[in-house]
Parts: sequence; C-alpha cells; structure tokens
Amino acid sequence: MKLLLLKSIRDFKTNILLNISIFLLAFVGIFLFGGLNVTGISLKSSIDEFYLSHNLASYTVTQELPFEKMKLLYERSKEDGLVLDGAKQLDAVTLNVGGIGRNIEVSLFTRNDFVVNTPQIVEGQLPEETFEALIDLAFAKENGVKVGDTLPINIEGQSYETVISGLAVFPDHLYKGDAIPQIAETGIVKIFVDLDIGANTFYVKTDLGEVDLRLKLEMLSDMPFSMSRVIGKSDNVSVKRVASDIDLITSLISILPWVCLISLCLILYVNASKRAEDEGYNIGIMCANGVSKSKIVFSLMLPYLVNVFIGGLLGAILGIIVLPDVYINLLSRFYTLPSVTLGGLMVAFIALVVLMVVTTVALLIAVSSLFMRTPTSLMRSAHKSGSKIIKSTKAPIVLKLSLRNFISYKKKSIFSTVSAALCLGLLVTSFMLDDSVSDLNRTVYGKYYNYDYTISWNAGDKLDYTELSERAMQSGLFENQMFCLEFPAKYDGKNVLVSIMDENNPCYKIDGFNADGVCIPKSYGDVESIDINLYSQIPLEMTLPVSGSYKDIGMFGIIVPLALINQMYPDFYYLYMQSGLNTKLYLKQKPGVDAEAFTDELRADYSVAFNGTLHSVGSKRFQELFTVISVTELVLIVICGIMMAVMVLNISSLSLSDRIRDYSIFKALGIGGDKVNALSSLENVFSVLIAYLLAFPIGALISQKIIKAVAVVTGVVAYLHITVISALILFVCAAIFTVIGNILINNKIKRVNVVSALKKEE
Amino acid sequence: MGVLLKVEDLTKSYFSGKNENRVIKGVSFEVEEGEFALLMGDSGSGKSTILNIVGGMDKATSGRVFILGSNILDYSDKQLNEYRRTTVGFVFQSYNLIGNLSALENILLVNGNNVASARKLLDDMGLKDRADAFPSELSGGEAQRVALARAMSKAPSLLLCDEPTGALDYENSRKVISSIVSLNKNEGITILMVTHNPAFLPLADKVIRLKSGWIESITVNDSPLSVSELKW
Repeated sequence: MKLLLLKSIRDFKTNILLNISIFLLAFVGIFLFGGLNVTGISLKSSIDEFYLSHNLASYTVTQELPFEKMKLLYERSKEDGLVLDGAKQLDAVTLNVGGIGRNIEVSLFTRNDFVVNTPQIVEGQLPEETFEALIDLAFAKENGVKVGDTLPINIEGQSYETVISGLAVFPDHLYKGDAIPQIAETGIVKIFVDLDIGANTFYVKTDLGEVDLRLKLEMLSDMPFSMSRVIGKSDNVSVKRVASDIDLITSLISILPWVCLISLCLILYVNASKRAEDEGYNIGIMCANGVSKSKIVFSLMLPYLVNVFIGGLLGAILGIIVLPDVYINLLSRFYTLPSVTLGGLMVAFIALVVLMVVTTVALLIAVSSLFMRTPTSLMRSAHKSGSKIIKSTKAPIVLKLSLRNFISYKKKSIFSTVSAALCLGLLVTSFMLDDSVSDLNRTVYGKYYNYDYTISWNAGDKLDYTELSERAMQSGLFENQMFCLEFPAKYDGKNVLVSIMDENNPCYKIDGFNADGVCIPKSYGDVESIDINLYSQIPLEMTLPVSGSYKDIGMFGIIVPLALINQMYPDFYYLYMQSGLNTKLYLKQKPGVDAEAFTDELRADYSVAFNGTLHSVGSKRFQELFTVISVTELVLIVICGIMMAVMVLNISSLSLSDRIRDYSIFKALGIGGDKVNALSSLENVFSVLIAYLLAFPIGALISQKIIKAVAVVTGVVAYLHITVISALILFVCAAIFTVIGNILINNKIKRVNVVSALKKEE
Repeated sequence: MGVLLKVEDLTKSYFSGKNENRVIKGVSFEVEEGEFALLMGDSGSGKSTILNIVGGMDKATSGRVFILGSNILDYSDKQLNEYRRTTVGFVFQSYNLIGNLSALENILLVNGNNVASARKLLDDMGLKDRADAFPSELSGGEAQRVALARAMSKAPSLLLCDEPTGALDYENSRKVISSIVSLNKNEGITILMVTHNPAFLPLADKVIRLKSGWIESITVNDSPLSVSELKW
C-alpha cells in the first residue's frame, strides 16, 4: 500500500500539466457554481427579507373613492380579514425645505395607513393630528429638519402648514428605477390628513387574483370598482416591482452555475476516464502480480480525488467570498441594494461533493472496464480499432485521419464538444439577448409605447376620451396620440386583459390582425371566434371573431379594435362611461416642448385624478431592464471566457496525451510540421464547429427562459433572434478559442521528444 | 561503392542533475552504399540510440554523422525533418503504424498520395489483399511489412531497422527479413539494422558489434548468404 501511495505521488509529479488542468477544472467549476449560486440566493433572500420585514403590499389599487365609501371599505375589510391600506399619492409636490423649493414625493395618508406599510419610527411618534407629518430619516438629516419643525406644502393649489411629528425609515416609496431609492435626494413625507380626499391609492396584501380582488373590493365598498387600476407585483410602480427585477437577476444567475457545473463535470468525466485508461498498462502489471483491485482503485483515485477536492474546496471558498462581492458591487452601480447577507453557502460545498462523485464514478466506470480485460491484454499495446469512414484514397490523409480520430475517441469528442457547446451557448445567450431585446424600443416597444407623455385616468370621471384627445391635440403641445382602453375579463377560465386599441396602434401590424377581428395569443391555437365575459358592474358577453395572433411572452391579453367593439356592442360608449375602463392616452410631445403642465391644467379643469407621466413608465422600465440585461451579458461573456480558457487547457492536454504516438510517428517519418499541426488542429476545429452549431439551440433555450422572465411589461413581445453579425462575432470568438487551443497543443507537440515518446508508448 | 554513412567519434550522454550517464562513448564506423550492415550488441550497449541519432530523431552529445557527405548533426530541425522525409527510412520494432489509417493509407501518408506505387509496394510485400486492413486487424508480421513498405515508399538512401523481427515469430520474422534482404539485394538499398538475432549474421555485408557504448568489433563478410540459403 505504501508503495502504491508512493507511485500515486510520483504519477502526480509526472503528469503535472494534466493535474494542473484537473485542479483548474475543479477550482473554476466550484468557484463559478458556488459563487454565482450564493450570489443569487443571497440577493434574493436578503431582498425578500427586506420587503417581508417591511410588510409590503401585493397590489396597488387606484380608485376614485368618496371618503365615506373609503371608511366603509376599511371597516368591512377588517371584518373580512383583507389587509389593505390607503393613501393619496402625490407625485411631485414642491416643498420648501431649507429655503430651497424641491420636488419631493408626499403621501397623504389615513389613520389606517400603517396597517400594511409599517415605518420604523426612529424619533418622535406617528402623526395624531391633521397635518402632522412623518418624515424620512435620511431626508430629514439631509435637509436639516427635526421633529417639531414646520414644513409648508402646497397641495392642489392650496397651502398647508405641517408639523413634523416623527422621523422614520419608510418601507415603500415611489421611485424611479431604483430598488431602494436614494431617500435623501427624493424625500419622503407622509402627512396625516383627515380630509375627504378624492382619488386614493390602496395597498392590498392578499393572495387573491386580480379579478377576485376587484370583486371583493366592490363587495366591501358597495360601489363599482371596475374602473380601478389593479397593478400586480410585476408592474407595480413601487419597490415591489424592483424586487421583481432582483427576482429576474437572481433567476438569470440561477441558470449560469448549472451550465458551468454541467460542462465542467463533462470535461472532468472525460479527464478521469482518460486517466484510468492511461493507467491500463500499470493496472495490467499490478493485476498480473496479484495486487488487489481495491488497492489498485485506491491508488488510482487518491491523487485524482485529492486534486479535485483541493481545487474544489479553494474554488468554493474563494467563490463564495469573491463572486458575490463582485456581482453585488456591480449591481449596486445600477440599484441601491439593501445590505446583502450571504446565504446558501452550503450549495458550494454540495457542488464540491457532486464533483467528487462525478470524478469517482468516472474513474470507477473506467477502471471497471479495465478490470474486465485480462492483465495480458492490458499490458499489450493495442491499436484502437480503426474507424472506416471516408475510404476514398483521394481525400487528404490528414483530414481523413482527423475525422477518424474524432470518431474513434468518442467519449472525449462528445463530452468536450458538448462542454464547448455549453460554453458557447452562454455566449450565444449573451448575443441573442442583446439582439432580441435591445431593439424592442425601435420595433415593438418603439411603436407602441414610444410616446413622451402618458396620461391615464379612469372613465368613472365621466370624462370622454375623445374630448380629452381633442383637447390634447388642440393644445399644440403634442404631435401624435394613441388610445388604449383596458378592462379585465374572463376568457376560457383565465383572467385576461382586454385592450381596446385605436387604429394608430402598431398592434394592427401583427400577424394579419385587422379591424374586423380580435388578436389573441398564439398559444390559443387556431380559433375562429372567442367568447369574452367582460368583468364589470354591467355584465357583458361578446362573441368576437379572431383575425390575428401574436406570441404571448410574459403576458396574456386580447386586443380588440375600437371599431369592432363599437360595431359588436353599440352601447359600448355607455358601458365605457358607466362601468369604467382604465383609459390611457399616449401623446407624442413636440420637440422642445415641456408638456408637464398639461396634466395640471387637466386636473384644475376637470377635478379628476389625472396621472401624467413624462416619458412613459414602460420606456423607463425598459431602460432598466436593458441595464440589467447588459450586466448579465457581461457576466455571461466573462464566465464563458473563463470556462473556455480552462477547457482549452484541459482538452489540449487530453489531445496531446491521446495523440502523442501519432504525432511522434509523423515526426519520425519526416512529415512536415504543418501536417502535424493540421492533425492536431483539425480535431479541435471539428469539435468547435459542432459546438458552434449546438450552441445556438442551447443559447436559444437559455435566452427563452431569460426573455420570458424579462417580458413582464404588459403588451411587449420580444422575438427571440440573433443577427448575422452576432453569429459572425460568435464564430470569430469560437475561432479564437480554437486557435488558442491549437497554439497550445502545437507548442507542446514541438517539444515532444520523438524517441522517448515512442519508447513510452511501446 | 562510396561511403553512404560515416559516424565519427559519436557520443551520447543522459544527464540526471549533475550525474552524467554516457551511453555512447566515441563510436566511429562507416556503411557503404548498397551495404547491408548489422548493429549488434547486448541490451544497453547503445544500438538503438545510434540508430535514432543516425535517423535524425535524437541528438548526439558530440561527434559527427555524415550521410552522403553532410553532417546531419549540424542540421536544423527543419533540415532534419526534410532528411527524415526524403533520405532515411525507419522501421521500428513496434511497427508504429497510425492506428486510424489502413495499411494502404499508412503508405500514402508518406509517398505523396501515390496510390499505384503504394499498392505495388504492398504487393511486393505479399500484402495485396490487406491494403484496406487497419493496423488492429493485421498480424505482427503483416504490420511490420506494412511498416517496411511505408519506409520504402520514400525510396530512401538509407533504411534503418530497429529490431524489426524482435516482436515476431519465426515464420513472420523470416518473411520480414526476406523482404529487407530483398530490398538490399534487388533494389540496392543501404540498410543498417539493429538486431539481437545471431542467425542474421551470415546475411550481412558488415557486422558492427557494440559493447557498453564502445565498438567491440567491425566484421566484414565478403560472401553474405541469401535468405534462402540461411539455415535458421
């Protein structure tokens, strides 16, 4: 046993390059797998914890609600067990702080406001009297205000004096594209009012679906709620929505480590098998001399497993220390993140165990197949059976030989090709994502939402959209407009969002959709007509002809032309006015015009809750998503590079070890260096070419998952594709990896001593 | 007949740290054009090392090896490669055929893809029907004759054979040695062959005996036997 150990140590020293590549495989594999997993798990758990601890709502509901109805709703909701909270959100209120007028966000809230949104009081107390204010701690520090100070604010043209009752850390904020806003800059003020405020924003914490929630709210308040806007987690303009961004990031991160681990396991498997096969001669000698099989297996496995263990352990430790730090720091350039507590550390160590198991299994399988042979046959230098493809004598010999070698060494060829394909698949994903998503603004999104100004209101205000649109165009501030009327409905047992579009809507351009029929998701197959049950106070059932379809990625909606609705249901206008549809008017602002005041004019003239947003929320959302995707693309490229580098090193070591005899014979026969190089290079070329082709479906699968996660913006459809230029760039990348691999092998071949190599093989 | 191969004061040492192990200790001999020379000696006497150096596959520590008047020890790697490709043919004890190429293709590899010539060589070696067989399908004797045909396909000035029958049985050894001798007698190929088998002594024009890295003796045989005359 002692001698076998000694042999193991000497073998380790002899095959130092191979051992370094094994070490690197284990190190990189666990480093990436462990590090990325821990990053994802830690981000998700820390952010979930942040939101859970701050007790945030699941839905935001906007509804015109008289104060009495609001009180009724609160009282009944308590009995019903529905946790809700209400506040009037004022987007940009000028507050004179420290003598400087600044736009800050102010919430007017009722007594029940803190049922859901629980601030952490740091100093002072919750407001008890009308126009007492609770101020964000960071904001107070930034602006030098303290408990007891007076803040003058202007709400809808009226001035109020508010007294600061306390300082707090707030859990929810309106924000612009940040997970946790820079509160010191934006400012959060919650002012307690006891007024009959008109429009309200409710926060509801519930597991109910959107339609059921709407029904329940109507039941509790004894008034129609169908004109309310219920916003789910995914597109809620609140911190919760950003939490979904983080969910997205973590879901992206969750794909990568598995791709890394699988590809590296494959290479390690080949490597371990090769190692066992290389030892065939020595195993034959040991068997012939009666050494027990267990000792043989032990001596073979020990150095290998120790190597994998040390590499993997170092990878795990460094991975969970370095990678989360790097990735979270990278993300924090785009998002203000809460402090992230590292979790899921065991994942890295479980991966290490997986790697050890894979290695052990590979060695055991390979050694078992060797044990099935007789010691004599193991000791005899046997030629591998020749592959009989390409019999033509006209075909270049080197090409023929390379192809045959590629096929003869099946395990190595398949596994290394698949691993290379997985690596390139990551790169394809990166480019595919970029190609599929980055031009959305121009293609789908650009046509649909690329309006500078979005005004939304609900028709419960009895405000006719035609009247508003005429006014907008007459104002001279806008050059183009588009309507979108939305209402929830039931179709085929599912909650759907019916969007009624005007003829300017680019949705008319998709897949034969026209004004004679509705457009439905392709997932519904070939249907001629659909029955829609409109959800509203006034039940309405319609059978509508289907004229077009679209891919439904991350959304499920039915698009109906306004003309068709009017034709099928002549009383539509009545329905619209009575039961309410959420109405959006997209306006294209003229260059150089500031149309923000338009909303204020509308508010003043109509006394209804207009929400005017410069630059559509969707556009902003997309910019955020592009940023997220850019980070992910960067990570993909870096990971792909690291993995390819390690694989190139490993595969070149394996190739050299497999072919050293052939190379030596070539050299001994005086066959030129170019042919020897070609022999070694062609196999890599075949491998990478196949990997390149395989990488596209792999990349498409990964991209599909990512795109589905990304396409959370209702109405936006991302078509998965890759441009020719990207495919060419990928080809160049693959070629570079191949050239690097070939240079490595050819350099090693140059140093091969023909005599000793042939003697060793003998 | 002129001198084809001239080895002068050849030495070869292997170094392990500061320790020098000199395996060739100043060897000098000549082989004339068309001669069939045997290099004999005990194991470790340096036979294969000399053959490898003459074949341009190994480097000497000192000395000179002239082939047709040129000292190959002065050759660059590129020149050595050219030398191995055009001037010298090598037959190894373990055949060293490329496993994934058929017998015919192993020859085509070095003869510039001349199929007719390769088939003729196989035919000459009695392997007409084995042209498409892969090395794993060939017997030892067949494999060695393919290796011999491959070496001959370059029409070398000098054929070096390193114990070509060492791994073969009597019958196969006879076939291989017949082919080698035939190349020498009929084609006029100069041959330097390493062997342990004393039975081949009567076939050779010259026998160079080595002992512990030194030349022990060089014997010239004025009337070598043909293979058919050999009592073996």
